[in-house]
Amino acid sequence: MKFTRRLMQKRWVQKTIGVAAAEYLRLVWMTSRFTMEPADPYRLYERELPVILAMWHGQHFMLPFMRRGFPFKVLISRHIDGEINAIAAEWLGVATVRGSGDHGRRYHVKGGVGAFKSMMDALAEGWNMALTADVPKVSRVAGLGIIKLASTTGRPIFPVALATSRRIMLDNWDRSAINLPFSRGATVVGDPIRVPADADPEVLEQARSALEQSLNAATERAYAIADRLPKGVRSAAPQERLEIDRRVSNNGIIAD
Amino acid sequence: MGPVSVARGSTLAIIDDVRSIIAKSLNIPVEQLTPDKRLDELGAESLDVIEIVFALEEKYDIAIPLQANDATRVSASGKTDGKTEDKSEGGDKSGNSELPFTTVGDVAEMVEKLVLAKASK
Repeated sequence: MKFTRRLMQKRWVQKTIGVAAAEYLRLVWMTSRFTMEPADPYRLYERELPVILAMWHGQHFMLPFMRRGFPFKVLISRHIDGEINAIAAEWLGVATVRGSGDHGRRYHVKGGVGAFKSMMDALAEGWNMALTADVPKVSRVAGLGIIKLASTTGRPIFPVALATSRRIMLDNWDRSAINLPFSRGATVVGDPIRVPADADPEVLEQARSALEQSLNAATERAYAIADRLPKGVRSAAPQERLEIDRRVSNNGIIAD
Repeated sequence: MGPVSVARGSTLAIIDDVRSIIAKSLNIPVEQLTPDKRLDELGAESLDVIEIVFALEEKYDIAIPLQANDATRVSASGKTDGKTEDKSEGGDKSGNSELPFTTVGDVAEMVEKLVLAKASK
């Protein structure tokens, strides 16, 4: 275990895994057929650029393929896993901002303060920003960081969810979905959420809650499309969905 | 209220301002804010620190330097410039924080230096 950990800290190991992961995701993208809801979400963005894209942790791996020429930066943590994610994102042409929020008091090591300023600068320079709305280790609970970013910069948040019919659900804190090749894929984009510059704590909380609900609804809808649920049958609610995924993951792969 | 003029930026005034801004952000009595108090010990989280940094920047019209760690340029081939350094969680290899301050005193000292640097330009 110690050896593996030491090995993972080697730059060449991280780079090899990161590049392999990126090329694997490219394979998934090239062998899968994605549908979008709404049919052309880029029309929504175009009027609002630059925008903030919000996703849930563990549901975002295919995002680099959805940017369709728009300049994007993605926020990625400084953790070793994040390092590999960053290498993969950069290999696929997505720029990165490094850092993450924290529920505790470790702001000085997580890089969240510098990352927040970098994201403000990026949006001011015309980059779109993609980031996960939930703060590490507490899955699918939107944090206030993304809301404050929207409030400070005046940019709208678009909730985005991606799902594939064939996937492996990992038994980790964020229930990461490893997308598999030859899938039916779905991308769902929710309505924009705007946060006024003078938002008081109550308004910030309302926006946070609205984002959480919208992301859950988009995630539920993306899985319903990908899993081709019969008309009239609602996808399980996100929390139930997590439970289902947890049960299914015991068997490994969810087949088409 | 606009940025405070440099002439007013005496050490004492800066310390008082810094303490009052931190006290307001963290919602704690200003008396608790002795120079040696660490912000994390006072309960500050990243969003609190961002609020404090913004308030100080606005008040003194300064830019507080924060260590960024970004890869920002995308080359013609679609690859980014790979500026990201070999960092793991816990700051850089020397264990340094991204922030140039840890305690209330550090914040006041940093603001004073930035205000003086601005005045000497």
